[in-house]
Amino acid sequence: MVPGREVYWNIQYGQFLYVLAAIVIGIMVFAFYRRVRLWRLGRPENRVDHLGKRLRSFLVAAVVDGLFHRKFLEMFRGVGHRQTTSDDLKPRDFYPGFAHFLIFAGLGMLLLATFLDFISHYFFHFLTGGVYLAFSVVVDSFGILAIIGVVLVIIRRYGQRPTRLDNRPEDLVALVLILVAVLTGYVVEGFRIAATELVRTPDWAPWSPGGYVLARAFSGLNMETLLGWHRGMWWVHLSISLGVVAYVALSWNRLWHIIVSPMNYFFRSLAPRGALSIVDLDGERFGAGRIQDFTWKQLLDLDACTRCGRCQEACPAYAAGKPLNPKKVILDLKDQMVEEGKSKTPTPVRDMITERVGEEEVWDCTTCRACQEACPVAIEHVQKIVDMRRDLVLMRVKFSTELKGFYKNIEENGNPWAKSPVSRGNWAEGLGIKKLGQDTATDTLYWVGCLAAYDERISRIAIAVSKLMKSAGVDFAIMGKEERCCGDAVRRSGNEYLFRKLVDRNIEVLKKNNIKRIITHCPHGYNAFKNEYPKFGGDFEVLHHTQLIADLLSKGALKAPQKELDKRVTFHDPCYLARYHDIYDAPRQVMASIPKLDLVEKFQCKEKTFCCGGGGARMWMAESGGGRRISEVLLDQVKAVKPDVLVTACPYCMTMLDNEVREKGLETAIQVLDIAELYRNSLGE
Amino acid sequence: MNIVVCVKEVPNPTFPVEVDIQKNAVKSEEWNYVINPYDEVALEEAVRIKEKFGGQVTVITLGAERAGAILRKCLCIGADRAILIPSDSAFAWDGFAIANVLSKAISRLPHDIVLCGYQSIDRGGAEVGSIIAELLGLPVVTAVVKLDIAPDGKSATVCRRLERGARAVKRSPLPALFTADLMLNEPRYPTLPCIKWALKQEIEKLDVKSLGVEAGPLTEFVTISRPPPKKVFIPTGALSPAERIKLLTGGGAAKKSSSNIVEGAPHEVAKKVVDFLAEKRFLL
Amino acid sequence: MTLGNFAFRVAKGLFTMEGDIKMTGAKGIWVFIESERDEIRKVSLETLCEARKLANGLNEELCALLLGDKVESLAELPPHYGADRVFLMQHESLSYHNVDAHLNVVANLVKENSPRILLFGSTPLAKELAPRLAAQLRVGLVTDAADVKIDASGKLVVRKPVYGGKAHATFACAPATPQMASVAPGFMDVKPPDASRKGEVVKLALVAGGKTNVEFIEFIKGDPRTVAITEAEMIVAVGRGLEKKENLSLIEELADKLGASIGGSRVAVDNGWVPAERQVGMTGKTVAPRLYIACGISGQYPHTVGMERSGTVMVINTDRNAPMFKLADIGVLGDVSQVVPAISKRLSEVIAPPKEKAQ
Repeated sequence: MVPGREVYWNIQYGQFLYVLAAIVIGIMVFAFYRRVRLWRLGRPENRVDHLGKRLRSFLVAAVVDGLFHRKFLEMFRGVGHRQTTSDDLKPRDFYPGFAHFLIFAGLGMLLLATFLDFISHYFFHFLTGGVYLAFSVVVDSFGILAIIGVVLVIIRRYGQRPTRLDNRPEDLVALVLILVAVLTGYVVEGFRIAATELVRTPDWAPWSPGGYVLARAFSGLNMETLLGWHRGMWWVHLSISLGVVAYVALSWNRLWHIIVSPMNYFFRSLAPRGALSIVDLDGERFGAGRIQDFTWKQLLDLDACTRCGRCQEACPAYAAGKPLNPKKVILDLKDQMVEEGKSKTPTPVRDMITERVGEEEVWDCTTCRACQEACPVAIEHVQKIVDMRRDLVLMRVKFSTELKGFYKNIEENGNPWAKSPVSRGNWAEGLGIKKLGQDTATDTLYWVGCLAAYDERISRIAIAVSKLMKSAGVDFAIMGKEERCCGDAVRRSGNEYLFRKLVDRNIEVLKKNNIKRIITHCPHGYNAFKNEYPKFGGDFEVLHHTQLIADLLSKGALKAPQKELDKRVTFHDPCYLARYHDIYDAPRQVMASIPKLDLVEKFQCKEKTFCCGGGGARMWMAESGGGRRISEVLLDQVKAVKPDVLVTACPYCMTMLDNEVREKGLETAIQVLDIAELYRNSLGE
Repeated sequence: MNIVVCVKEVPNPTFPVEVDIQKNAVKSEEWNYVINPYDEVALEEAVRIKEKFGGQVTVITLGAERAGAILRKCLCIGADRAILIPSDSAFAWDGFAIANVLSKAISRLPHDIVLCGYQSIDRGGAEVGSIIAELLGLPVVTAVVKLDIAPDGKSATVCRRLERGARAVKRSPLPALFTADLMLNEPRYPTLPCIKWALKQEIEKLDVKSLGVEAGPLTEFVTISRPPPKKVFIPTGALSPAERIKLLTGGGAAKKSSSNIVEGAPHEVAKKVVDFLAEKRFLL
Repeated sequence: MTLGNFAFRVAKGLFTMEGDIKMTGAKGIWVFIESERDEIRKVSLETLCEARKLANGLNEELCALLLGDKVESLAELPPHYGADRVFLMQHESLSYHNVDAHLNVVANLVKENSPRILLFGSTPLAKELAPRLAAQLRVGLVTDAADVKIDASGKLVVRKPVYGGKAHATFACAPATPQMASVAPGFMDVKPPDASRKGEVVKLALVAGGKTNVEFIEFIKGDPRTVAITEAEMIVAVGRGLEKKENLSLIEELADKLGASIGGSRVAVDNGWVPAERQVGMTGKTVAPRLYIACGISGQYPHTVGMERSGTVMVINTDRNAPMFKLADIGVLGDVSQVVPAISKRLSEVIAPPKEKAQ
């Protein structure tokens, strides 16, 4: 006899299954349709552009993320969009990722097996003989893995109770339902094996290990009982499995993430990471003050959330004890969406920002993007927070006094300080730096930025950068008093109108001067020019000074450093350089060129870098909401590696860290330097 | 409650003021102009009164064509109507001449309250409001830090700022003129819908000649000169960033120096100190 | 738009200054004297002393105009500072806050006596009174003068700070008399009084009070302990040299004796000696009081940048090299805990208990 299994063995009217399945599918479609209606509360947005690219990257991501659980395990991080290093292969978040992997793979295999059974039964009888036995052992084992996975998850959720997880009844329901569905399957199998294989072909039985164990337990029963139980359990298993699906569908249980999260990944933003959405200034409403102001995709995001808490764990504001929790923001918005979907009144039952998410939370964000980097299902937190800020700034004018002064200064002086634009180029006096329009026709502009133009400490960065560019023979000019705020912080604080005025003005001046290439030492300006200005007609080649220095060094245009440093150095990756633009090799190359520099990496570095607390216009806002300063938490990480020198490559990071080092009285112990200053200092000149 | 607010554009105070002795003028080529902060406070108060009592807020300025920009800003903040009386030398006019023109214009407008800034930050005369009131025959209280309109709209109780935190509470029948101190309120930042509305409004123009102004200025500009020299502070890297930010956002400050040190037994020192304080008239 | 354009505009004749000066028989310089707590205000004395110089130059009489509800006892004083004659009018309606009554009286007096020049000290009263009077009389007025002179043609020429003090502009008053100016406090010196100098005191009776539009309701005294530090006229500021919180009572005693407010450096705030809203310096408030007493403050830039526009600065410190001394008008080398109580003691010997009286 050839090994195999008779489908619908011992079952009458088994085909009734298809009727039930059709009903359940109908229920699913209905539930999904109800949800689509909720998403359609949002504004239209085109997320089916570049279909080819979407499909391709979706498939790649489905294979890589789905099969290997890259994001869940925090491993294989380079795959897909970055260079992979051996460091990237170490899983950093193993337990939950592995448990999820077991459930995912186990249930996936069971689903696949059911499908193959169906094919084999009706169309192409291939599950027979050795193939069947192999099939059986694989599927059976995967089912067991799924059970192990569920158990691991239960231990984690209800035993270990990590802070990033909030347990709700639906979590337990989902886990128990999976467990019951899989276990009843084994029970059915156990009865079948006890009644058939154990009796007739006992050699086959161990090839279904799960069922075999149960079959041995049932084997003492008489055949009548076994057949009866098998029939009964078959229907129970069927009803439970389909019932689970129907229940999950109608209650919009978290298990919907199986469908919604991949969908969300497919529809994810293909824009550069640092480009915020453009507000239609001709419209009537600006930003998001109620749920209908978000786009449908932003609402889809809310349903894609599995409450895994990775964003919460990554958020620097949350880590510093501030009210903001990115996960809670998403869940609050989801509650708002559901409430608004049910509500019959035109005005919201509860105000989305002030009564649901919380104003403090909206202002706490530094736009560091750590949450999005951590999110396994491509939820876009930062854009939502900026949209809510836009509503607070442009529609309600509810923001802090400091921000009001910040906007007023930028409107009147073109910089966030109460300083005249006329003195903007003063730092460069006597350095022989060319100024646009006066004595040069170069197409390369060194964008100095508001911090370096007026703050003497940051001016030293600009001086170092200018000197090294001159020594490398880079032909460049600065704008001097023609330069104005680039608008990064203005935009991220929500003032799109002021941002657009700045952009229009800056692009006009840059074009008038035939600028083709912009060099800047500020990652925020870098992001603005690279990712935001092109949307408004300003296309420039943009270089961050770390890239420029690394490039000039490798070409030999810059002198290799001679002076031995002989110090422990740690590098703080600026968010807008590392996480937004994947630039973290360039500064390390520069540091590697300095003799006897002992580079020690912080616990959180590169794309995991912990924000300094200054981004998203936070630098101009007072600390609020209690908790510690974000820079304080960052300095703890710095202190842990006991550096002599703390190097960074961003004027914001420099300001926040320099301030924190002084606050803690460590200014003699830890020297804070920009990478350009570090390079210049080690020339031995 | 119809309110007329007199506003003025002033050079952005962050810009350097350089005196050109030859031309007997200040170099103003690079300047930009902003609304006088005191006037902005006055406007904000007017808009708040309007929001409570209804009515119309009209802003009026005597100034260059360029001053249309600050009028537009006033519309953003909440004025309903903006009137520009073009003139290319408003700064040089003396307080009386400016007040005379404005009072003629105001007399043509319905006004239950006239609000002005306490003073301008360029010429700093602190006189125009009072003169307008005199010319219009209105009661006046200057440097108002609190303004309460009676529910019947017939009178106002105001708090006037005096020295050293002292206040005088006064009551005036309406119509009246008040000048706003900076402590009166904090002007709002306009919403984008308000800005968009303001961009569509027309700035009305009023010709000086049509007002029938006959009296001329009563003072005459003679010269402008540099002030006694002062050092302007430039923040250095030795300061912590928080301090630098604070300083830069505040615009910096100036220095002075001289010295006269006493030492010895405490009671002897105390005698010298108290004599010094008495001489400088610090003792009550 | 510059000041320079103005001469051009004038030449074009949009408005013109009427001809040359014609002193229509107007003679004499008048100074409006104000009192506070039974004393003549300092700025009035500054104005009086400056007016004396003008009177000498013109060889005309200097008159002090002393109005108020309780001013008779002060009538002897203006001559000590140079006044030749004192017009005294005491009437209960002439309380400090009744600007309308003052306006009516002064306008009538001026019309009757036609002085050539009328000067005010720049005070809250004068800030309302002077412009209204000038408007009523249709005469030129320049406020907040740093310097007053008389030019060859006899016009009153006044220099005043403009653009927030970044420049000084000079204006000349039109020939119509009286030519008026108000003098900003602190620009002119007060000469020591000459008690032997006597002047004629002319007592005037209030003829007609005229209409009073604005009703005075209440005076709210500024309490130095609670007034915003930015508004305080005198500040006693403490720093690291205070050493311990217990010493704060010594500072409070001195501040109360002087009627000063208490401020502090960042160290004082961090130690909980003074509340954060009373911190002076870059991360606190910028202040410009008439008197600033720095007790045990070394004078690092973050602090001094917040107080360097103060009028008179007194420094008490044990370290002779403390940078704070560079800003001092008077410095005391000594320990705060010893010097401050000694000063308080001396103060109570010299001054009577502070009189509870409105300005």
